[in-house]
Amino acid sequence: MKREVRLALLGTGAVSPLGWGTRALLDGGTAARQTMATLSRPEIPHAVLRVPMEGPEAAALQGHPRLRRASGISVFLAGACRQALDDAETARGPIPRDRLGLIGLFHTGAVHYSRRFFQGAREQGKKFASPALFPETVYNSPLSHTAAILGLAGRVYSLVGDASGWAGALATAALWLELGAVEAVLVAASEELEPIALEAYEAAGWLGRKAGFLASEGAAALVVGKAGGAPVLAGLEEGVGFRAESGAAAVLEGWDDSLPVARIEPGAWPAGVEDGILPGRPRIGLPGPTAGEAFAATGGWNLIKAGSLGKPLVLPLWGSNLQMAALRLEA
Amino acid sequence: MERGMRRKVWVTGTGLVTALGADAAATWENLAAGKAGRAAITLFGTDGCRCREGAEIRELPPCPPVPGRAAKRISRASRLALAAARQCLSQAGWLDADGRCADPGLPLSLSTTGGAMDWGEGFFDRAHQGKRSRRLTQVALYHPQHQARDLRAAFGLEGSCQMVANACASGANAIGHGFELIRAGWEERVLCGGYEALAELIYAGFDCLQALAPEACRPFSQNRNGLMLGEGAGFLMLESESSARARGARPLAVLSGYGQATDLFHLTQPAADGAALAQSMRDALACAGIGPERVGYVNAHGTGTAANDGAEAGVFARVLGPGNPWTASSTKAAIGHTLGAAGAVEAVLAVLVLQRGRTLPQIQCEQPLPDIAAHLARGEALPGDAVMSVNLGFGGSNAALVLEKADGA
Repeated sequence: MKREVRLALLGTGAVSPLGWGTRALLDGGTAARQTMATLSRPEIPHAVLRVPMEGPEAAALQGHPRLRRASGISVFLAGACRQALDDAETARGPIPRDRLGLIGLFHTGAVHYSRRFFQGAREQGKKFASPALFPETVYNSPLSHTAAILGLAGRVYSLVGDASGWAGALATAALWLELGAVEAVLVAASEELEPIALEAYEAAGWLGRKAGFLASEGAAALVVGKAGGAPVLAGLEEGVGFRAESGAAAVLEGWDDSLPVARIEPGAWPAGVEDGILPGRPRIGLPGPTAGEAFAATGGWNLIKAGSLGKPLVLPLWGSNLQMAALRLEA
Repeated sequence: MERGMRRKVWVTGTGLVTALGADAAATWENLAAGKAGRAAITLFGTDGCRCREGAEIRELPPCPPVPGRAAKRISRASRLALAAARQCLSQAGWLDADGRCADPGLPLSLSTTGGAMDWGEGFFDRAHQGKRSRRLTQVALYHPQHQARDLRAAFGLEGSCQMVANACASGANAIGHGFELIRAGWEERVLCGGYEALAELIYAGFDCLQALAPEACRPFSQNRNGLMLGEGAGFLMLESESSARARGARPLAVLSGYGQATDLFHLTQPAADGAALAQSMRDALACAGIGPERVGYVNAHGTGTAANDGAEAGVFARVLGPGNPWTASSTKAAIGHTLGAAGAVEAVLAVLVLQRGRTLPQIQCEQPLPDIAAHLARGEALPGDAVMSVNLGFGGSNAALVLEKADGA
């Protein structure tokens, strides 16, 4: 169901293989390809994109007591959220922390510690399972760390979903704003790359040379508030299941068919489907070099890219599990 | 829709599957009789664990009518969710003769912490052993989005779905989200629920934290020594009063309040003063527009761990007041801690307390904590017309729900 919501995008943050910051996402150079192997075939390397961790921002976050033992997913998330909040507060002044909600979206979740914990329990026995690792395996541990670092003691939701989950996350933010529960909401997503995750992508057939899939990691964050003054999110359709291309087309149609539809970067897996279901429809390319496929984080990166254009458009959010959503942006 | 107004939200259906019963009635009878579902874990090996017992469901609910091979791909988590959701839709009058939902656009608000973790464990084991067959099936079925797909497929649903994973408060958050969607006029009805299947990784995790009780789970007792893991599913059908009335539905209860707050103290431990829980309870009462004197029963989080129960009992005394008639019990001593399902399972039990007019007794609490001793439920007549269900979770999630008797219910 298409829903009219009006949200102002007050601030953005991004941590990606292109670097730390939204500017790197939009204007950065080419991300350096690295290799990673799956668990079952450690001898076969696959090209992947990783977040650079050598800069001062990453070092500062990793020194925080809450992130001392945390894996990449938590560090990326905290970094992107802090950037987005700084961006929003620079533009509009301080946002009271008790009036700032936080919503996090995760698809693969904290797979690094999950794999390490289970592998340890399997190889050494449950008697030696690690109590230091287990809490970090929980879906909401990354968001808990970010809430603690930023001092957000109000509404905090961890949601499970892929890129299409952004529509539901933003709808929830709009609902909280409408109910008066918050003054602004940090909406973010984060994913980390790890051999067991790569194993899943390989099992799905996504790592083949023709698949147009480059596994990646990172985070994206937005601060949204009630509409006024800044680029506006004007409508959304939450992630619905589709089994045929006609179902996907229905999500992208029916807004205002003269609006251009953002073009997923050429070579990415949904690009061919998009071209097939949108004949004759105006298209608009998203700026910036490729940051790869990091599911929930990619949805956020694409939203930041689309918002940076300052033009009305429809942004498709392709999920990985036959689920898709769309956002309508105004200038 | 009456968007912008604050509408009444009715509970028109419930569904429940626990270690003490395949439906709400059976679970209630066993809980009221003071039974506990604790037994040896048979689903996976517990060698090397400090604890070897839990509230495991011995006989899974019947599989939905799907072809033979497809039935094998319905995960344990989905089996629990499908059974509870079916009961809920049926009681609410939303199932047609073919077992499909009469409103295909019905949104879902779901919760879990582990999804179908047993499939994820199988995927890891095969990859770890260098085996490459069946990996896609296992990893695809593991993900929580797949259980949502199972629900959609079983009931013919095409609407939106939100999956909350706020650890052990998730179930209450999923219900709270559905409540707010209806209250704000965004939706007329939402199917809300939580599900959780016992899983080896999660069991080993709680065991290595020494959070599991090696013997009986004793919530709110001074000699408590840990929690008992369980599994199950709970679902509630929430509808706006106006739309439910229009179709002639009757309310089981009114969901009138929801509060949520976050404890920043520690990833796994609540702050000793329970400030976030107190905030969520006060917010829920304010949302409902009632005072604590109306609350007759609280289904407590009551894990049986040292850190949780002391903080929680203190919060109850402060928020609800020592002079008010409230009672409280933790049903986790009997059905176990169902993690991502707990908030939903326990909200269903709170609805049953309202409907039957009796509290659920606290079992296995030989030496009650002073803050709660005078208020522990004994299965007495409900001393009020409102109840609460509260939950805390890893990561600092706290949530509270207020339910009230419906006129004419």
